[in-house]
Amino acid sequence: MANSRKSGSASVLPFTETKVKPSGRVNSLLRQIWKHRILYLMLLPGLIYFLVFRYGPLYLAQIAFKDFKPLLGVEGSDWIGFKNFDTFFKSYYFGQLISNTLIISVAKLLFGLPPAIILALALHETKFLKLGRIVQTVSYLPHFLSWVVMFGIMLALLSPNDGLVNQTISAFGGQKIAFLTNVDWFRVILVGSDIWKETGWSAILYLAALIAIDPTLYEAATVDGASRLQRIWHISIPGIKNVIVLVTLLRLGTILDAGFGQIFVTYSLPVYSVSDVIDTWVYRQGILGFQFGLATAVGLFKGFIGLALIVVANRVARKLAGNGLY
Amino acid sequence: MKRFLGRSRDDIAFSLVSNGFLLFVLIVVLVPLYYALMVSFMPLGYKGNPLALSPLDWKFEAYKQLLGQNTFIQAMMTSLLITVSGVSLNMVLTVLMAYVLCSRTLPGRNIIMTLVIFTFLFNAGLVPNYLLVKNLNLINTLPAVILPGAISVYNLLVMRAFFLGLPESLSEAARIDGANDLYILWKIFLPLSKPILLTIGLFYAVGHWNEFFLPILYLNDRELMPLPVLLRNILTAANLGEYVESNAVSAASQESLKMAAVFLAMLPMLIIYPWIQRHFTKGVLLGGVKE
Amino acid sequence: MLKLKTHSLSRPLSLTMVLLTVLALFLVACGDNTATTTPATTTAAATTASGAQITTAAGAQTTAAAATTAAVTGPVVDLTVWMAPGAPEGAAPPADWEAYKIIKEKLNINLKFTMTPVGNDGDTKLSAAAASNNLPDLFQMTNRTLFYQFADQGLLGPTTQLLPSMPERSKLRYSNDNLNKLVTVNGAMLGLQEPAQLYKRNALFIRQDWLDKLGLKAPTTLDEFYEVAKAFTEKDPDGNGKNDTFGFGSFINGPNGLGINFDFIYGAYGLPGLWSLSPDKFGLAIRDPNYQKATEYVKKLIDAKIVDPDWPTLKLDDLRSRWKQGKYGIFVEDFCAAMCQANYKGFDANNPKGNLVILDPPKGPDGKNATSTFAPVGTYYAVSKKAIDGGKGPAIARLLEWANSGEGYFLLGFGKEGVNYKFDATKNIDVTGIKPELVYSSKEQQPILQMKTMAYIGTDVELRARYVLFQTGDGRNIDPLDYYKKSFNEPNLDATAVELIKAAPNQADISRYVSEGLVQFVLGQKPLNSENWNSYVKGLDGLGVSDWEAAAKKSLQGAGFLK
Repeated sequence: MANSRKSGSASVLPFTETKVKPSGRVNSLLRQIWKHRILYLMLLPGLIYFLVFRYGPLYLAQIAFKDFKPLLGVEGSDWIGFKNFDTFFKSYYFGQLISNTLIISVAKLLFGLPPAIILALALHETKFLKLGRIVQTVSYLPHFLSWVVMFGIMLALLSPNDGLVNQTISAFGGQKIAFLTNVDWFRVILVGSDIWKETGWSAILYLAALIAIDPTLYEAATVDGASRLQRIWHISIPGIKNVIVLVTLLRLGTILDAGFGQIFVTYSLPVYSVSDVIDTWVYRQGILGFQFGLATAVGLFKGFIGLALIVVANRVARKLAGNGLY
Repeated sequence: MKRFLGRSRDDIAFSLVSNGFLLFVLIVVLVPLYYALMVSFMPLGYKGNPLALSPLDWKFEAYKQLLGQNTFIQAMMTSLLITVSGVSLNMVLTVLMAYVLCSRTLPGRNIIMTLVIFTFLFNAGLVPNYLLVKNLNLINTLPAVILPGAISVYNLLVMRAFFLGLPESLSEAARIDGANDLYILWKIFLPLSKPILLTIGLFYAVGHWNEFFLPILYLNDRELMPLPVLLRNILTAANLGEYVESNAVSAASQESLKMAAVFLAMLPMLIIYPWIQRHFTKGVLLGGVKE
Repeated sequence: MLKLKTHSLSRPLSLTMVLLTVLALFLVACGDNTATTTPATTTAAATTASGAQITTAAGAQTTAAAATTAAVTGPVVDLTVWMAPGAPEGAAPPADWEAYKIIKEKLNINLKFTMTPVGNDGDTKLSAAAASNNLPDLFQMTNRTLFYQFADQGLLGPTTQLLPSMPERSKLRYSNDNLNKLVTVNGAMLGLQEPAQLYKRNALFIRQDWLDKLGLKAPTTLDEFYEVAKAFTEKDPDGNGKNDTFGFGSFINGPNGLGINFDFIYGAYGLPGLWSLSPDKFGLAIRDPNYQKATEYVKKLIDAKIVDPDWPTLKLDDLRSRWKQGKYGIFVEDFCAAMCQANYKGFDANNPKGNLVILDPPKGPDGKNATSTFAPVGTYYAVSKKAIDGGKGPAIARLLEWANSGEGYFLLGFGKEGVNYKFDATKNIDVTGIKPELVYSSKEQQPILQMKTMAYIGTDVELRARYVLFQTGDGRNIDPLDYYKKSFNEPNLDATAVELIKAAPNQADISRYVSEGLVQFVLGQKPLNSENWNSYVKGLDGLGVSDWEAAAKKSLQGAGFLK
């Protein structure tokens, strides 16, 4: 399938690619547009949505550069340049916030991706359809647990006193560990609980892509005597490569989101030094402190970092994998 | 190649590893979930380990209490309304736009694509979004919680990637026969995209079903509040010293109520998913014989 | 084959799609309708409300009409009111609520009441509305930081002019100068500070049954406290043969220091709370050398493992579920959260012989003691500037005055006489003979009492009605108010002035620095010695804490709280 796309490199509409004289360029553009009128019509609702609901707020996000006063409104407030950004950059814990954010976020990306892909592959390969269905249904359930509830479960499992895990550890003669308040363990817990909660859910997307792979490819491979591992490596993985690249690229774009909901609920003072991230700081200082200019500025800063990363990563992906985001 | 019961040794080893992995996942996920479920069944005053709770001792007081709230059904209906209308809007807009963005010849396609990705990276934040909703006069209406998320860039790009993977020969043939784009999308693309349509529909549906922040922010009337807000109120009500004055004695502990609320909220998804799964496997079978 | 596939799949799919789209459009249209404001039915007769003047809520009888004396004429005023609900888990008042009708007929007000979410969610909702200059006409606030921010932004209307229009309410509630200072910014009164109905609600609770079982006496000093807590941890006070109890259960309650649940230890050194309010040593309490000593005592408790080791991560409801399970011998709790029937029941079920009593805060080396700090302030209301500019002031005053006494007071606080409650011979609220589901305090009646805080003032009749006597499983009588009286009489430090201190520009960083440092010390992540302690205190300078302290001092002096 991937092959067919590469070979059909020309276009969806090959007959519109006819050459035009330079003098008629404007005319030709108009003709092109007229030819695509149905496409434009199909685009219209989405375009309106993006202009109103995505660019509308972005226009109002100018409060990041303003001393925002609600009575004066967004436009009436005074410009103050980069002062809000400065407040963030010069804040006491800035360096720590950035490094915590990056460490947690990158770890979630790196360690979260393989389990989801492996689960999808195992589900796709299994011949015990019942088992597959049950695992699929069960594995995606944790996604619906809110972090507040997750915290309750984590406490029951990880409490240094009577948590299941620690009871097991001490039954085997080990030392009890205060996972949730231990600076060495806390990030492991963050990443691990995130994987536990989201792996089944992320696998759905990969599974959908696996199902779309043309079954005749597998048949041909079987006839050629390929083992199942070989089939996975040469058919399944290439078949879902696009989705993997896409998901990873998008995740890179939001690399400065380390998971506010999770951290806000699970972190505590003993582990602030390893888990206080940009978003938790913004919530405490910006949202609860009524400093919306500051909160918006940090949001834009995160966007710029994401933009830079995604542009670079997109180039790399195009070179290495032959495709990218756009 | 050595064979055993018609299967190669490699095959058996692979089967062991991969199905073993599935079993492992099953257990790792189920134990905490079972724990939570047992907490919701715990009788008041139960002091032992929830995992050891015997089915004979299961109490459904927490569920009775939650379902007995006259607001519960109303909130559930509101959630349903938000989810159904939200998802239909999501799907129409996303599919149309994803299809258009597949075109390699449309003048302006790169600009549009850039515009779309840009909004994925830049989120204006709480106040600018609130100001917009207010300026559109949507405060305290259900569209306020549906329209701002009408298209998820993530889902849009996944959809587009999937469309790009469809064989072009199909659409080209139709085009030569004089079919227009709407026809191609409807008759050729969509039927081939069932797994991804269901997946993305599920993503959207879950998003709507679980949303509590936007309703809290934009809606004022309690009649408009969806289920997650109600559940959140039940959960947080216990956390504030000022609100413990109630004389209404509960027959279930606070923990049981919490977990019962969680499972009640999960229920619709538990019902929907097997149905979606059926179509997942069907998609494979339709394409040909599996193995 | 391809064609066949296409057809079989697309038919049902297309049908659902069309259906869903229609539904969506329908819904959007519906929503738009609700967006338009409800038309004010100006024709509704503005009845002249005349009747007996009621002086206090307590003595009022039901036959009394609204307290408004003057006839209310003119068009009906639309009034939006946001309040924290009486019962957040309950439903909103129904559309045909009696109070809505009466408010419209007698007060000429079309009331639009919104229950705000509790906690941070509610603050966020209020902030977002404020940022878009879209605050409701009258709203309740709980977050002092937000109040000062709104005031600085000019979003709040002056409330002084409302006072003459609500004479009884003002006399009863808004005539304390010290309280009014808390809502006064730059000389202008920008809110209505309610006096606290009940304050000093938090107390140290101890398991008397455990003391009896181990043959111990209630501790009176920190040293005795340590011994008792140790015995509670190690000597199996519940006799179940398992090592599953702790002397002291706690968590980090609040943003300051180790939180108010550890205040009693700092109180024993004369330093409960974040601020040291003595005129000569005004500033953050951690600058006081005694603060280090108190912190060392906390560390001693934690090192000895007599505090539940989960304390740094627990939340309030975790603490509650654990003392109810019978894990803790001593803990800090709100009197009603511990001793009101609905809350006590969980404890009773787990500990049928359990006996909770209030413990006097243990004394420190100099004989000082205090459970915590207190401020005799209740909730407060603010009025948006928009509402005042729009001429809604009189209507707001009318509503508040109505809710203060007589008909309005009882309707908001207890529902309908004869239906939800009765008066007994001594004019106390009585519910004998009323169907359980109709009793004002029942779950079923929560919706009609969602605005009760606007009415409540804390009279004896009211308290008796709110905090009812009950019996434990083994037949002991419990009166929550007895516990409140005991809690009220425990030593506590008056910190009313602290309410006036505005947040620093980098408040989040300061709060984190102060609390995180203390936690690191008591957990042993950082050795607690003079050198480390001094550098910790010195580190405050890097955060500009001195500026904050100076600003705080100035505003306290300006208000006359500090000489």
